[in-house]
Amino acid sequence: MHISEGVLSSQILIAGYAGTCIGVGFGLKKIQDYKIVRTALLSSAFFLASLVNIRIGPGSTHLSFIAPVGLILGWGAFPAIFAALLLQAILFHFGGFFVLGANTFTMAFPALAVNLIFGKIIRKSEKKFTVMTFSFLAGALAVIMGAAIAGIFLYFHR
Amino acid sequence: MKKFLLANLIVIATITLTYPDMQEGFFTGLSIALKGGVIYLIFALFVFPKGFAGIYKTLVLMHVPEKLRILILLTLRGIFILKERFESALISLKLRAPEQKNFAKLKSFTYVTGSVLLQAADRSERMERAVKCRGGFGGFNNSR
Repeated sequence: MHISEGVLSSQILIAGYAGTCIGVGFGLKKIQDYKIVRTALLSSAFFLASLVNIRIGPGSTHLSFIAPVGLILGWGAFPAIFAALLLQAILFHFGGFFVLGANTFTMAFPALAVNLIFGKIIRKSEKKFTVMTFSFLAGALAVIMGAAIAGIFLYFHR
Repeated sequence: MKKFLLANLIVIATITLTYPDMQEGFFTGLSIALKGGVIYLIFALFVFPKGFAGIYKTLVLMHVPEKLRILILLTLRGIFILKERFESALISLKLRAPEQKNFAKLKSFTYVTGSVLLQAADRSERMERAVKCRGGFGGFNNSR
């Protein structure tokens, strides 16, 4: 779900950066110093997961750790995903620098939303089945929300 | 093969330029390609040649918060750690079960991913302790 460079209009790019700046600001404030290492490792896991392609039938897809990152980090998902996408833009030219804001918001907002919706239930529940069900729902919802936000950005790009 | 591709390109260009409905899409595609090329060219000329140290200095110049800079550097370190672990886990999986198919393959792949994540969490705790032993992030500045 990387939106390529040059596709979105400047208004959408600015809106994306505005949303991302707010999220990253809150996220950086909420991350305690001793949790930076864990955030960084989850960020690198997010980076690597999107490079692993899996063939399903005639097509192929890649893993996305949106839900796990969101469920574990909460607001910290914004800076984690921002860092991962920045490195992807630098190393592999996936996405780009100007669409970094929009791409980060596309993936980090669902992560945060999933945390707010399912985080408490998953953490408090002691039954394995409940945890599995809500984790699956969280993952599915995160992917759907990510696709929906990317779709909205692309719809209003002109 | 090159001639075939060129012929195809000419046919597509002719069709898109002669049909008025397709012209808009053609020019949008062209503008996207140009924008993307120019943006990448700017960064390729001014930022990429400096390497990661240069990119880090660019972040400093852009007044990016220190926490975020540390996060980016640690993420870069974490990528190499996880890549190494993941590759070794995949190799061992292939050696143990070389002819797995479809669902079984996906299932074992999930197990590998999960175990790598747990190892990463363990490693992060050790890294965190090591950082504390070295005096924490205090004084982590541009000079390093």
